[in-house]
Amino acid sequence: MSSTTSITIILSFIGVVAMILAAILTVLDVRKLQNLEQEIKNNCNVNDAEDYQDFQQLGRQLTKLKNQLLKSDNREKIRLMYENEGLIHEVQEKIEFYVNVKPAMKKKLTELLRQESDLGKIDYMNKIIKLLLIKS
Amino acid sequence: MKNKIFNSRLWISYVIHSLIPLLPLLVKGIIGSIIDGGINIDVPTLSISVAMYTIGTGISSENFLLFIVYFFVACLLLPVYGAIESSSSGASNTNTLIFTIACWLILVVAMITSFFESYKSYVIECRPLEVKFAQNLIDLTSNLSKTNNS
Repeated sequence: MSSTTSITIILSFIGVVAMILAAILTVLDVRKLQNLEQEIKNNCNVNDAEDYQDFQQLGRQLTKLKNQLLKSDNREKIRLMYENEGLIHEVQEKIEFYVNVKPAMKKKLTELLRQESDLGKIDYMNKIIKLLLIKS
Repeated sequence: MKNKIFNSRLWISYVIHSLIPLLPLLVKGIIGSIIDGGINIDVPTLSISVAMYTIGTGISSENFLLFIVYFFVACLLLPVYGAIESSSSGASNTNTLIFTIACWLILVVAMITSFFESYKSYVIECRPLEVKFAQNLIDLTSNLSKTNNS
């Protein structure tokens, strides 16, 4: 077997193994996020009827805000987000208070609740609220 | 609330980020089949396409470790191809075949990984699409479907 063939085989093999490793890493990332959602479902503390109604009301307000954002231009979006800063902050704090997960998972949850994109933030908050309300 | 796999954001982003970059390879295959009568993607096109695809997928990944792995794979492919071509015993059928198989395997795994990345970003993390016209199209269709239902 010539040296070129050996190099080709070895480096090609390393390349394929590295790609498979990348695929495994991605799948593990996905599993971690799915486990976070499962933990939220299993360990939430929304037992009070009043808190339940609070969350429902917040969910409705978030949906209304999202619909307004979708219809607005950039200037209007900035104004809406500025006016609803209190609402966003209240939902983030409430979710972080009621969700009872491990610190590493809580860090990821906080990162997603405070993501840069406004629509992404609202969608994710709505998703978590729905998870909390299903369990309750 | 389930993370649905039949999510328009997921599939639109997958087409834009992962399938459209493979168009040059597809066009080369189609033109080759028209001219030569059989699908014949030559090794230079394949190696460069796969290397660029992995770099592009790595750059769009949020995980730094994944970016390193993708970049490493891309850096492996081009020198291997160069070694095959420049060596005196280099471009033999065996070497070309081994390299071609490796490139196709890497491409398939990269496409699968890219799908999982899109699923993570757009379905689980609820991030909106960066491409404005695609996001507007999704919002328009979801508003229309809500109007029809009401």
